[in-house]
Amino acid sequence: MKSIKELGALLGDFKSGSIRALSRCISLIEEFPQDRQTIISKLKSSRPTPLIIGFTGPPGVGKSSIINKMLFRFVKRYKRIAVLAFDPSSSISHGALLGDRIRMNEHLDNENIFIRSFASRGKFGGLSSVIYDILEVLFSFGFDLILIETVGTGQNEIEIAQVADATIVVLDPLSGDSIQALKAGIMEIGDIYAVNKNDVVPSAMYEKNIQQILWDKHKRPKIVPCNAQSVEGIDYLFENIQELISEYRKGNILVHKRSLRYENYVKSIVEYKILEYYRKKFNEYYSRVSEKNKNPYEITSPFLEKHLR
Amino acid sequence: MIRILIAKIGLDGHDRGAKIISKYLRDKGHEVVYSGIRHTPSSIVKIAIQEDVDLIGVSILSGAHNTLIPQLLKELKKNKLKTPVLVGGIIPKKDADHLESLGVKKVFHTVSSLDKIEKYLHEIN
Amino acid sequence: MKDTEQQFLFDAYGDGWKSEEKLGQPGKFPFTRGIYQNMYTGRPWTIRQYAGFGSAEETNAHFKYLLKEGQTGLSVAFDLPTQLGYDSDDILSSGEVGKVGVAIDSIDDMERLFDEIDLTKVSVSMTINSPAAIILAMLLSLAQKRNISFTALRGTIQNDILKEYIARGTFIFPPKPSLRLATDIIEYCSEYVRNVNPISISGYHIREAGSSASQEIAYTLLNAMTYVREVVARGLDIDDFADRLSFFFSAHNHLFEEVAKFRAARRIWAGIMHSKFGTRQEKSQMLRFHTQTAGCTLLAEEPYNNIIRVTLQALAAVLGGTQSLHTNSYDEALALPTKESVRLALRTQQIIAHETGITDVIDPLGGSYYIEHLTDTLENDILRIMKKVEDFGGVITCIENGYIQKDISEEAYKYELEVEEKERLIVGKNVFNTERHKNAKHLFRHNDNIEIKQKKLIKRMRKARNNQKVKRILAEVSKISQGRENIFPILMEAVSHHCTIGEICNVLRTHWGEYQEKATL
Repeated sequence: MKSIKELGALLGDFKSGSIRALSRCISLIEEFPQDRQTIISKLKSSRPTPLIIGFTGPPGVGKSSIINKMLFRFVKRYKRIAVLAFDPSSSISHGALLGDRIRMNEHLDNENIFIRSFASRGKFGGLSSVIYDILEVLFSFGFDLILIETVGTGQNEIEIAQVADATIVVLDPLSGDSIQALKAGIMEIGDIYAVNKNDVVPSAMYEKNIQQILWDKHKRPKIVPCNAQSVEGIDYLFENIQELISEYRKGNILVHKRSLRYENYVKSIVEYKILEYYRKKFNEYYSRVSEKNKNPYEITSPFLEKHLR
Repeated sequence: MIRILIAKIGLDGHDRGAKIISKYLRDKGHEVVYSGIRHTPSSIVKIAIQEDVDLIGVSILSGAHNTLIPQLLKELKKNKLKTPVLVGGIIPKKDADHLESLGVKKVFHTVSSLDKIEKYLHEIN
Repeated sequence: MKDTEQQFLFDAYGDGWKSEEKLGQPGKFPFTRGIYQNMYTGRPWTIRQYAGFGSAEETNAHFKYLLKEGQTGLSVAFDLPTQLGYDSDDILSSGEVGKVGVAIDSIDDMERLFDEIDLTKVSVSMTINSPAAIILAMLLSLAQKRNISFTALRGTIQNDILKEYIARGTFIFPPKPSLRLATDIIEYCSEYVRNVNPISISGYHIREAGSSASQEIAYTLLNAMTYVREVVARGLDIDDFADRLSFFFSAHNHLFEEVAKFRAARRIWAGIMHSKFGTRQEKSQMLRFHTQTAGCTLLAEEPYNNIIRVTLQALAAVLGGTQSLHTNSYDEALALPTKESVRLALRTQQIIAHETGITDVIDPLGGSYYIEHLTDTLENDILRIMKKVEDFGGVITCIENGYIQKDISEEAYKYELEVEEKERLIVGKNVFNTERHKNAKHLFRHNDNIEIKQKKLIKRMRKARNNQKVKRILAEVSKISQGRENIFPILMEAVSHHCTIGEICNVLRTHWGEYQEKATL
């Protein structure tokens, strides 16, 4: 197997901390998902699981700027940090324009910060179909903190909440998208809602509106005003994140989330394999179907009966 | 599908062309990592390593190409990277020939059509 | 311009169109027809070719050549290290010294730049933004040395940092301290240097980045309003500085659209200054502007075709009522202009000024059904774009979240696709392109040892100056940069004691930080 061969050559460098080897291994997972089990088992090393924090929100709301400013604070507490920036692939061309890292150029000189851009490559949910495996590679390499940035607008882009230990949803009162997003999926997934302050719309009103939508008997996520342009605006958000993590650790919520993540990982492997298998089988069956304008249920029922017996 | 880094090197801040080629390549199905402006040879190489790109496309319009591009090639060599480098911008033919002899895969002057550039990427990948 | 493409004949003005409101008189509000009563009938526009390369000496010689050939005002191009506040011996300047403009490190270079040029007789425009205060300080120090009073100086300093974030990319510091610097300059000049335009709010670069004509004007006027607000917040009376605000636009290919664009810009600005800012004097409402023919329309293919393009673009600028004009040289898609090609560009303006009869009348296209229709259409479009930004939080917010950059970038991409698809025809490029790409016969070549020369000069200068004084002054700059005092006076002291542009900017960088690009594609 091409990937395993290359992996063999990279293994030594990976284990001695070469960024180049890490980067290549991530690519191998993306390029050869069918080999990911082998790749991961070869790279496996037992290291403590790092904290994973997700940032999501509508496009243009300032996630990258916030992450950029946050990194200055995170580096004081976490030694090695990985930032994964996800952007959707075009559903038409399947290409992608990955520019989130521009706002993080200030950290290029820091050898302990690894930034990588990803395209969703057709996967709904906002991340990648191999996100869990990519995380495993990062775990094996040895990071203390992983930040994941993803675009979140509709019902679909909520996968981040299944992956991260804490999810920060960034909103901007001036962005019409934010209102739409609130009405859709991402209103349910945030552990903290960071509201961008500005000089035009008083955020207090907006925060109250969000509160009314988000708060109920069972959950009261934190709503935190922030401002990527000011030191205080970021410090406050940072402190809230730290506080939240602390709470989650104490209250065993972190443990609970990680077991959910493990469950999602397991399910995703099975789903992937099943889909791959049945897709293949069904395509074979369908190519032999002569009358393609019958009732769809008539066409599919023989196939389903056979395989779901 | 090719994963390509589009980078601007040196102090030149004119990014119209770099942004256009980035969008065009995306629309043709490639994954483009755009670095933004004001990169040094060493920061471009750092990005290329982290992003594990198949190609590096550098845009430069300030006339500093004869200094900066050779520095980039040197930095790639230092890091043992064999990623092919393409250069686009305002580069006289004499300089373009010279840069290609130093190891740049191809220099595209501003006359090159987007289609021509994209087709070339397929040729070399 | 999709909706006008459907209409082929213009034979009436719009509904309810009133010529006194829309047109008025030249020299009177709303200045649609021109800002002066006499326009070119009194005096043609200033011929002001942007120039600069290599060392101050080389550029000085070139300035003298241009003046001899009939140029009526100077315009200085600085190299990228100077524009970004780096000395020629900075590691980041490597390869860039003297390439896109003249290298200026200290006041010595400034002296050499204007050697034997009478600053009381020639107006000087300087395209410098982030470190504009330092360069202006050098010019004023030079004037002092020559016993020229500040009020005898005429010229412009670009000093438009907002468009740097939007389209040009030569920013150093973040918006807040940059606006403080820009305002310090405007404040200082409004009091002591009354005949120098302390700012040239630019749309040219926005257009070069690929914007439409409406976007060019809209974003420029929005930036202008931001600057006006900053200065007013300082406590200055608007009528004390507004007459010194100047603008800089592009002259692009569509002749009539460009003429209409300039007229719409004048009308809108006059309205803004009158209604929004409550200026009491007409001179505060006049949009005075410099124009450059659009560099982005120059082709490397069949370069002589560019002569025709530039001529038509210059015509548009003049029919549109520009106060000064730069015409590009035909070989500028390939390199800096040669002496011959720049002379031809000069002659282009001179022929238009003296042989066509255009300067005998004011706003000759005024009243044309088509021109008035276009002027109105553009005015509406410009106002629509301006309102959008204001609804989204204003200029600074829309720069920070990349909205403006993205809007321009989308337009640029659209244009490029139209060219690829041959929906937009460009002669020599996608149509009538029979001749394979050939270089123009003889191209400008830089002097290869400029960088070494500058490094030697700086070293020598640093040895010769009073370094104790330099240290003290830089400490003072540091202190003032953290306070709220106008920083200009200390910068004057700094440059006169041979502090270099890099040394000063490094102090400022320490306290103000460096701006990180906010690109959104």
